[in-house]
Amino acid sequence: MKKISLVSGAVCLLVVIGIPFLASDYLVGFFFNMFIFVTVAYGWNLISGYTGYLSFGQISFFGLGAYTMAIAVFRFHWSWQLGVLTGAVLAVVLAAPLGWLMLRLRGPYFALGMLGFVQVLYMVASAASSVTGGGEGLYLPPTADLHPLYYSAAAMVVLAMGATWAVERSAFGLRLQAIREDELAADAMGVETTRVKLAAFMLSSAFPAVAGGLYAWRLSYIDPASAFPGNYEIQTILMTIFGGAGTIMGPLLGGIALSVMGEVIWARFAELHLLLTGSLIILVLLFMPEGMVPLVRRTVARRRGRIARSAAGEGA
Amino acid sequence: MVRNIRILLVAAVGFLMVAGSAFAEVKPILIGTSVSLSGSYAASAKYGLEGYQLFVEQLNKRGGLLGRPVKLVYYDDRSDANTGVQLYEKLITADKVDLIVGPYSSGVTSAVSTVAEKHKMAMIGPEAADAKIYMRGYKYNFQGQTQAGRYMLGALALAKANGYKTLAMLAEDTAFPKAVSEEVAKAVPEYGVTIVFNQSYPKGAADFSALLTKVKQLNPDMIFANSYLPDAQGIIRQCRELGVNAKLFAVAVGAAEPEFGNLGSTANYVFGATQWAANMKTKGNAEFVKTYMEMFKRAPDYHSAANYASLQVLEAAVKSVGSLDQDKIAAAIAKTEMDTVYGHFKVDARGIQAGFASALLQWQQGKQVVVWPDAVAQGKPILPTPPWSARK
Amino acid sequence: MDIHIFLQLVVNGLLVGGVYGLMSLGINVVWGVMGVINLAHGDLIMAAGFLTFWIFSRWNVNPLLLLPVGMAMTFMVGMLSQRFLLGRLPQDRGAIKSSLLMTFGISYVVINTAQLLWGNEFQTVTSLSGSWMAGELDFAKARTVAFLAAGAVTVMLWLFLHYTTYGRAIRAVSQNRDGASVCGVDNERIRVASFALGAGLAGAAGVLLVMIFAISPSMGSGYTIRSFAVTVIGGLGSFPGALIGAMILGLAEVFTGYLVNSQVANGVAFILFLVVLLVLPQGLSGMFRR
Repeated sequence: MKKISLVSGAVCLLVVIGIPFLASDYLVGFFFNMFIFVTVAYGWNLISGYTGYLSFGQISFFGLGAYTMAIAVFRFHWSWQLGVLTGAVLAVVLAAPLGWLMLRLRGPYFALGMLGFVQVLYMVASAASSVTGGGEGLYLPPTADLHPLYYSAAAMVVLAMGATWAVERSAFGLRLQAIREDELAADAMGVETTRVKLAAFMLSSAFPAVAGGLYAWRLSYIDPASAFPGNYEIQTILMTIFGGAGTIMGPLLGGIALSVMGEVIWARFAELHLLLTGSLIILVLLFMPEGMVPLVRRTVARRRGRIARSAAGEGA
Repeated sequence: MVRNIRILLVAAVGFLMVAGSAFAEVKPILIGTSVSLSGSYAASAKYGLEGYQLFVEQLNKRGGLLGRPVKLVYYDDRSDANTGVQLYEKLITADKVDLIVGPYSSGVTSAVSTVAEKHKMAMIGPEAADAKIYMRGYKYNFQGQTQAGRYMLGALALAKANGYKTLAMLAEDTAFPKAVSEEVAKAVPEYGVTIVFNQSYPKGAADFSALLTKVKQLNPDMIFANSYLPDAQGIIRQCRELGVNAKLFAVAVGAAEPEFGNLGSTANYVFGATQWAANMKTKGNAEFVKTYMEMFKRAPDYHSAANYASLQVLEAAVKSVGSLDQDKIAAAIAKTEMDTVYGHFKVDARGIQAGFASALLQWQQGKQVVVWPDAVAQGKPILPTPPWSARK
Repeated sequence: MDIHIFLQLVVNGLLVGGVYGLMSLGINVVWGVMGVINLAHGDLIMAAGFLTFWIFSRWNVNPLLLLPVGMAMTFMVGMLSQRFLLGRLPQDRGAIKSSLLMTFGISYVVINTAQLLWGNEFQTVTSLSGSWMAGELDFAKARTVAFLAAGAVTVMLWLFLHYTTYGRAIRAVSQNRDGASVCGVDNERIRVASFALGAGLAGAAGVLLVMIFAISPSMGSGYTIRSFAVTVIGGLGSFPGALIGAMILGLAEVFTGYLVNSQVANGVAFILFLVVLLVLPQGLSGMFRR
């Protein structure tokens, strides 16, 4: 089993590396966008999937990363790579005091508190026009070559998966899940809940920040509406839940499934886009609230059980 | 039964092969664009799309382009810049369109202009009034809309003629309206006007009462709302509610749309920029309006005319080049000077529109009347606007 | 700032605050009874507003007469949503999360339906224009009427909650679910009723809102957050708190708009909201409790 997943992982990696040499710019762009979504989804998964703190505001780090990159390039003439990295660092730095304040809130208070925070950042971005260009936005030099962006985004997905894998196998991950299951009990059992939550929050902020920086460089244009796209927040939450929140593969599977679905079906029914998304959310919640990964796992287990049973039956 | 199906299949495949080779000879020229069919620009963008569709239809009746039929390929960009970028990428690399034309709005155009530049595809942007898009040293992008600086020239001319001195301006905080405010601020000394108030408000704001209370205290001769339709309506309506008077009210976009009349009597006396009017004596305009009404069962607005005109220019450029060589087409557009339904097309060295002019209309007794410039005027401007308290 | 300007700003702020108050009452009722935030709240406001616009522009009906129509429509949507969607979610530890997401899904469906029915454009009802003068002060007609109507709906809601069996049952459940259950209150039915009531209140707010401002299908989420901000500022579950919170928000927006600029005024709701959330988690009404 281990061997199979290693081999399939290597194959996937080769395909990902090979795509820019084989596919059209359009397909490369499609995969780039998908990787951006998946990266944001992994960030959300860390705080909301593992810790259970439903956030409607991870897109604030996305916007922070986007603006940091844009301002670094536009005002200081840095390279975009440096701008993107600076954005990630800033996001983690900001996440510390923000998380300290916000993570005291629970349930809808936290969810909507984060949503309110996005609105405040949006306001700052539109009001501080001498730095951000305000509602008019900033124009960046056009990106001639998509490939470095593509590989950066692909690397981020791998990194995010790796980080999630490492978290899940660590004691840290167990503590997060303990908080999700019952924060009071976790606290009583000696988990330093505040510190653990804060660490998860800071870690989770870096991924959307990098994604935002890459996205802004690709768009060559940034304004408050494209830096804090509310529908991206929703898309990534949906991807994670669809794939399986609090799992290693969930955001990736959900991201691929919904991106492909979006491209194939929704592009053709643009006027029904929200209706289809909304219905999908409702159906997923009603019929597969745990997402694809547990479903797949159960199916595999059942089949293996059957094989085991039939093998046992033959033996007898 | 099975055999019959098999025969049918063979026949069908054979037919397709024959038909395919026949069609291959007259492979159409594909013109790609994205349209905001949904999202906040949908209403105006629809007019633009119809302008494109009408032109392509007529072009094919005339025998197409370079002896080939022409086909318009378009997708919905949801009024979203990032989606626009994806779609132009798809049009150019997956659909392999031969020519492209611009989307709706300065915002989406500014984002997709980089795609056009990257792939070295000539693109006229018929709905991008913000000239800043063309100040980035691009070689393949051309402005097909009147530049933002010209929208309020008519109102300023009236100010000068009537001796109005003080001006208060409100602008939505986005590319196009801000550009209008900046350009007006540059132009006012020429007209003997001083700006006493100049502030922007964020996109989506609905309550202008705080801003208008400030304006009221300053008691300006003129108030300009550099906004799109919903805000233009809101600002004028709230001026009335708060008793904010001025001798001249003008809005950048909005008064040109029939929906502005929903304000009822409040709409009267308000001036609005329009870049085109159905009665203008531009080349082929009457024919354009007539065929448009026949095809779409409604009157065109200025977006329809601008998009139509951009394809007129593109056709002329391709014809003069005689091929689909993008470098040559771009060079040809840069040199093109021609009379379109939208006016005289001419771009400067950066690709900024230098030809298209602007006109001014006023709402009089519930109707739009073009009042400036004299060449196209349907009536005289009614000034000064009476105070709200004296109106019913 | 002279006194006249000051008073005019106060009038403007309070008039808008009245509608904010009505907007937030629906959120408040649903939260109090069910512990659920209805993310489709703002979209129901929008939908009722569009329905009002549509009937008004077609048959020129006085929008105030459409209050019951708008309320009935959103009431039905709310009832069906609770009965067939929200009510079916498992009531486990993830209930808050899944109900939030469920109402979000409903919100998308409502937006898209409104787009299909009424298009993508901004619309507003302009039947009342101009203002009444009281001394030197302008009372915008549309806003004053909306304010008074919002007040009337609020009073009616209060009477309903205090003097009818259903209303008392709703209050009982919001105070103590198990206790109410022991006393013979059918919890499930009350949940359906209060979710529908909250939605109906959103409908009332929508009918009044479209008389003042232009609305578009995609603007609903802004109202949801604003309503929630008002509720948090005033204190969740507190009726007078919500009204005070609404007035404070109305005043804060008008005064920051006048003294600072519109960009900050647009975000002041969220600044207030975050400050109150972090400093006074019980809201302003919490300050006055023992």
